[in-house]
Amino acid sequence: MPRPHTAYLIWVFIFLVIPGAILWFAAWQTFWKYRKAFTQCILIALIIGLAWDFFAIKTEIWGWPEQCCALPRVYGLPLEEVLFIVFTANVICATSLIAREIYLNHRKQLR
Amino acid sequence: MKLGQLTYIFSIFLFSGTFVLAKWHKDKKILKKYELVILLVILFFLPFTAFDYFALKWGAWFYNPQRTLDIKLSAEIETYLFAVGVTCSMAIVAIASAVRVDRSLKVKKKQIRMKPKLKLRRAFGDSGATRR
Repeated sequence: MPRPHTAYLIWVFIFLVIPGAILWFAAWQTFWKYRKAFTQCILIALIIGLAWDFFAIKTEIWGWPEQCCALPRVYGLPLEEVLFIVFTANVICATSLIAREIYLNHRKQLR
Repeated sequence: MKLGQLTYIFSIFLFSGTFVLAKWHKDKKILKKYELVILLVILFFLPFTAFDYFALKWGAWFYNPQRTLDIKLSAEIETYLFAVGVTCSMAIVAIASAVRVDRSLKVKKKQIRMKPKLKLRRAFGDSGATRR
């Protein structure tokens, strides 16, 4: 079990940063071609995600314990949450693009 | 069950559901072709929602039992719906954007192919005799 202050950062690193890095390493040329898709995904995720988080804080759906986070909080929102949103969008976008490439290649072969 | 316990589900439909509907309505023509891909991406990510268990155990975040159904399947049951909504939203944006990038690249390629023809026309003149 990680130390309390680094729990969120370690979780983000293990379950989002490492898989994202592996995906980028495996198919960086494809991803660089579609960098606009990544930018759009991350921007939209940040807009919706942050609005959702502030709604959650207000309605007390979820929260973060005092000792969860090493980074400072902005209006009650730990900065780790921003990292969570960015890296989640990155992993989903990368996987979707890979799935699309596989689908298109498969269709080409069928023709 | 109290009405307040539906707050998490309500927020999922409010933030993720409305976005998916709006985006789908906007890019229906593009996305219809990739329905299967989007579905597969959602199914791929669904089991990973269980990693929420570690975040809850390590104390990274917590859910308020008065705002959730308080049914746990390694994570709160609503989290699976959250994962479906978020994955669907991001997959839709990624695919629609990728299709647009491909289209713009095709247009650029066409323009590059057209350029030598234009140069020839300029060099030899676009007179009626050459046209015949």
